[in-house]
Amino acid sequence: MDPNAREVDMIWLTAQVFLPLAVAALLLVVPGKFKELLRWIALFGCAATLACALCLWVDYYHRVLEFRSDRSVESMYHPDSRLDARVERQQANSARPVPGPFSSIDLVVVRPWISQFGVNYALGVDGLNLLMVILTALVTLLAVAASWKIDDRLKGYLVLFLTLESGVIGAFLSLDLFLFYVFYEVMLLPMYFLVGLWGGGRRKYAAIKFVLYTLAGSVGLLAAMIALYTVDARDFVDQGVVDKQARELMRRNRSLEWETARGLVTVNTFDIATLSKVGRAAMLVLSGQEDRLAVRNPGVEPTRPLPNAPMELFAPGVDRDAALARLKGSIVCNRNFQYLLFALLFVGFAVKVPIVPLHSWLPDAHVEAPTPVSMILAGVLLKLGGYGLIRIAFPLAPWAAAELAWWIGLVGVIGIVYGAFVAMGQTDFKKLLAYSSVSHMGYVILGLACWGSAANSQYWELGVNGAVYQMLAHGISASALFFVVGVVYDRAHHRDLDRLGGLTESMPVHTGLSAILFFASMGLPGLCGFVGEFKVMMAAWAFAPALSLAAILATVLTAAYLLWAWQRAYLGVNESTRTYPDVSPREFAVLVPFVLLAIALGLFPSVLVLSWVEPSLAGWIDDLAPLRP
Amino acid sequence: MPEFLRDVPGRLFLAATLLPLAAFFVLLLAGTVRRRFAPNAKPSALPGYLACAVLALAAGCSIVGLSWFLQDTAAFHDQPKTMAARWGERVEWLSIGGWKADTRTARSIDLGYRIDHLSALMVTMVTVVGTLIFTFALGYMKDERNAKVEDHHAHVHRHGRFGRFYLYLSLFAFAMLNILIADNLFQIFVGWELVGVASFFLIGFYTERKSASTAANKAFIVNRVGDAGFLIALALAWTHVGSFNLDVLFAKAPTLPSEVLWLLGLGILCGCAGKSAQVPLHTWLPDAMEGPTPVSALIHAATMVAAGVYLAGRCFPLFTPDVLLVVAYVGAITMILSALVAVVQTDIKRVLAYSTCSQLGFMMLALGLGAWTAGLLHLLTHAFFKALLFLAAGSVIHGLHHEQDLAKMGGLRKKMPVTAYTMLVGVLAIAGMPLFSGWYSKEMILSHVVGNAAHDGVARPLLLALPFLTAGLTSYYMFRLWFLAFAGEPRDRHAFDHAHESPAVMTLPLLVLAVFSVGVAWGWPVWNVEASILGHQLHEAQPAIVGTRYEAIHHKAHELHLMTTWFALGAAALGFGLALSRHRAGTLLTPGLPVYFARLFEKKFYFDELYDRVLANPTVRLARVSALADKRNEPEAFQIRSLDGALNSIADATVAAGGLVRRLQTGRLREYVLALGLTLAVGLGILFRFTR
Repeated sequence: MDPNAREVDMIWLTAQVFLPLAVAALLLVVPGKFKELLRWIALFGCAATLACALCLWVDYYHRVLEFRSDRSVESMYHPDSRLDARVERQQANSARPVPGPFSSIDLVVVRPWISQFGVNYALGVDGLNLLMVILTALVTLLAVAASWKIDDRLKGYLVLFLTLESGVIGAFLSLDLFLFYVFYEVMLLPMYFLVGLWGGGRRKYAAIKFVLYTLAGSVGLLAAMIALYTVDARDFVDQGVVDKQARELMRRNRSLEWETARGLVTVNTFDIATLSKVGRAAMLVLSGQEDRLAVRNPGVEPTRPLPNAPMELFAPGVDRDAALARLKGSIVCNRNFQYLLFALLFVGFAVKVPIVPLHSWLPDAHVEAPTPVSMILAGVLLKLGGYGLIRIAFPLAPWAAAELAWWIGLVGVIGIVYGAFVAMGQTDFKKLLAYSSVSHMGYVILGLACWGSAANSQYWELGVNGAVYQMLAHGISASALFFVVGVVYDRAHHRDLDRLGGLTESMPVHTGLSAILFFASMGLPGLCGFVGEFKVMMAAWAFAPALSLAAILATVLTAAYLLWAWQRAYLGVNESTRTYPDVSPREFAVLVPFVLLAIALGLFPSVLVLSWVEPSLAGWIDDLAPLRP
Repeated sequence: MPEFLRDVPGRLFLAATLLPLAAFFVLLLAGTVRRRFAPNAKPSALPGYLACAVLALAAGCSIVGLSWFLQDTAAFHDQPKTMAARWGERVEWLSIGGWKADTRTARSIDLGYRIDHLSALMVTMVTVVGTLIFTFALGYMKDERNAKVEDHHAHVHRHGRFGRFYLYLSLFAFAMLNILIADNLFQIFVGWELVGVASFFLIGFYTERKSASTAANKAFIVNRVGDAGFLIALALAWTHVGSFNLDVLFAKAPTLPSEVLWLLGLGILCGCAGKSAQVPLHTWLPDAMEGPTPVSALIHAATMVAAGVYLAGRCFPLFTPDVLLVVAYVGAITMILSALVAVVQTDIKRVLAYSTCSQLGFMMLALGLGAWTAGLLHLLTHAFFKALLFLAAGSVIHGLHHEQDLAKMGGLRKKMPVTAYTMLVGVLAIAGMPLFSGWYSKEMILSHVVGNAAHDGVARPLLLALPFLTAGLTSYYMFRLWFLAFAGEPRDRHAFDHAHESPAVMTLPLLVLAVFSVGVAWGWPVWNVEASILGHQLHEAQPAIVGTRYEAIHHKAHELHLMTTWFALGAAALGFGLALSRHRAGTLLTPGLPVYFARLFEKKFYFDELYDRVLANPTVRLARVSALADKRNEPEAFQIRSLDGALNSIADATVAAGGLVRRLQTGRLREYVLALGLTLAVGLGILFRFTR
């Protein structure tokens, strides 16, 4: 094999993350007076990022999913193609005395970054984060196209925009907590300036509020991260790593015996896949199922994980009893530690989702932010919260997540109902949409929370599936609707629903396209919003009928507030809106992709998205669901 | 014969369903392009012709399909598997999990169709009636083809919306057909919501009118309440059966816990009640008359509102006897309340709307009592004559230049004879005149009602008395309508003088529908209700459980048949006589009832007021209060009246604390030295205290 082949993943993934930043750097050297040039460079940069994401998608589809086929699984679901399996292989290969061989079909890159602290530059692709990356790239592209009217300090604006995109994509692709945290914070700053400098009347207030809430969340994340770093994960990483460290110890202290040296080794890591194994093992211990803990036996054909079957969490070559003793002595097997860990992670990400009562930064940020920033905020940043819950909070602290599942679901339902009521009470078009985001993202939380018994894990899988789809659908419909409001605002210079109306007559194309988006947001079958909500409602009933019932009844409220807003904004007769011009070609070009996606994603969810996202989610469920007795 | 049809002729029905969808997408695309690039052009007539042609093609497909299906049932009557393969297909729309060894349920949501006698007949009915109404609308909506249209109610000029009208109609046709051919509850739900949204757009077609958009919202939201019930039923099915496919549900239903089955049935019933405008979810239907009249004919009389009855019939095996009793009572209450309200209405469309409600209640009652075939036969015959009645009303409204008030009509049969006499056919059919289609279905239902009463010894007298009472009332208010509109002397000379018969494109559908309204249920001998061919065909689709559970009642019904006929005819004749005598006396418009009754009927039993008071207004108020409880615009610090303010107070407190601490940093050296000394002293003190 070509020894350089392993660089391909590295190059692709790095390019995916840093391409927008590179374009931002390019923008810095272009003189600010060439405004049109700046816009086009930014637009092409975003288009290139999207193209890169699509290339990655093709790569993922063909080289990861289709590469392995097996008789025991439907094609593309092979456990070897799952992210944690690929990371594990990569780690095993790097831990050898002579690292390698690396295969370039893994779409995973793990390189030492700050090796003293075991921090890796670890990026990897699976269906879930690839979906989010494509969504990010798409929404950013359309948001840049929507920024054409911004004239004031344009260069800075575009640079910040692209930096933001880099941060978000980086956070989505990171497989290392530390790296994730860095990207998570990188993304914060551009957002602060975008709201604070280009926003409306109370922009400073909104910007500082956004930063404070997010920072409060990320402090929780930081604390959880440090707490996890103190945990010894030596029985969960490839034993080559342990041997390597033991050799290092012996080199420093020549009096040590090999066995003693090995015994002294502790492995601290930020690696999400490893920490997730620790979390799962801790869950087994805490729920009295420690006899299910087993040592991984490489080379055995994977089978469907059954309830109460052994779970091979210890790395190959580990002495099970010693490892179990070490694990039970460790702090991770402390209930309060697990609760605290999960609470920190959950709150950290839930601020971003957002959950009630930590949502109040969102309406302010939306109302003050310029239209394109609102699009990014609703379409992309909120998804980071949901993504973090799926990728980090649940796998790292599964025991507490399972214990608290009902309460998490309740939080989701409160968000759904409360968001809907508050949205109904708004007169500001944009605020209404902001609260509708709160309501819609509640379905994401509810879907994730449906952790029932292992035997019926298909319901939870449907819920998670629905949650992910809801994130995608909300990313499309909400950012499109914020653009719709922006279009109206450009003409009316206000967003007061009571003073709008009669747009049907003056802006028929705009009205038609918005109608589709409104109904997509409402969850009409055949449009994107329905698929996720429906799946979540169905899954939730098996978990907790009361929660599902509330979510089902909330659909009436959703219809009410959206239709009422629709009536006030578009229908009726209003002399003041009669002269508004219909959408310009640029606005049309931004709206049409959203509308087409809303329709296509509603009609063909399986073909377009789930066929390649679902294997990753199935893997996630296979990891977690059997943990519950 | 095309290749793809030979083995699976059921695809004819699939084609009939998908054709309107294709028309919808074409119109959507063309409309967007036209509005984008030529916003002020005169609307072309093309969309109408396209939609009509497409639906006519669909009707052709379904008629061919129906006859093919009937031949097949004869040819393969002993091979149910072959029939199933030829008349149904299923694909996976969404699936979960990748292990082949995994045999658990609840892992896939399917789409599919399954043709039986019921769906074949329903599809044919919908496409045929739909084609006629689409054609009628070519004439009725002609104004919309002008570049500028004046809205007489909202008093504005606006662009014509001819294409948009057919866009919505095509969407509706697709959604409705999708409900009919679906073989699973999920797909039915999808169609359920889509007909809801098409109906929303069509009721609110005159967007300038506040009343229209409010009625549209009301229709959609009330339907959503019903749909929430439907969703609960779906969730129950998914949780306890693990599939939405009807065959699986029917097979597993007997094994389900009784409370689950009960709730499942009630959930479906809730969906049916929403769509079919049954009490207590009926309030949207009369308001829905804000839409153009062809819409009222197609959606709010002939087809969409019938979907609820159809679903109740389709899901009959899922209903426990308790649920069926609820169905019967819901139907009976709706039937009588709407009939009473219809008696005092003076708006021609509202009379028909309440009559629709009432007839749907009649069908629900029939289903609830186990008269499956009779109820669905009534659904089919009702579709034809109610479409006829609505179109005739539309023709009157068109001829009178948008006058809907019965008080301003009269004597119109001289001006518009075709409309008058075709409408008379409809009136006779709905009143249950022998040999008209309505008679057959009504007769069957009523004899079942009598049979039921005889079987249980009149344990529920209401279920016996109300149907006959309603039959009499129906006859009264329908003849009242006809007399007021067409007979006697014109009450508004001005309107009468300007009245004119509608063009052929509108009267032709009336004539065709009149023919159907007379003869659609005929059999040989014509005077024998039980010989109805349509009835026999529907009977083929009747779930097996109906036959076994209600055999005794059917028997009784058969025995008491002649008596029923006399009673029914008597009730209808009484209604007619009353209408005629009051017409002669000229008192049809004055309420002959005690004033508080008349007021109660005019106010539609105060349902709207009640819902506004109890549900709508409190919800809006709660929403406003929540909005205030969430966030207020308060620049000052420490405003804890709202959630946002309370959280901000944390920040305010931090700032305040910062302010306090700042005061310690005075910048005066002696104070620092003092603090240093004090700290040292305290520190040393602590040190000594603890080291001793």
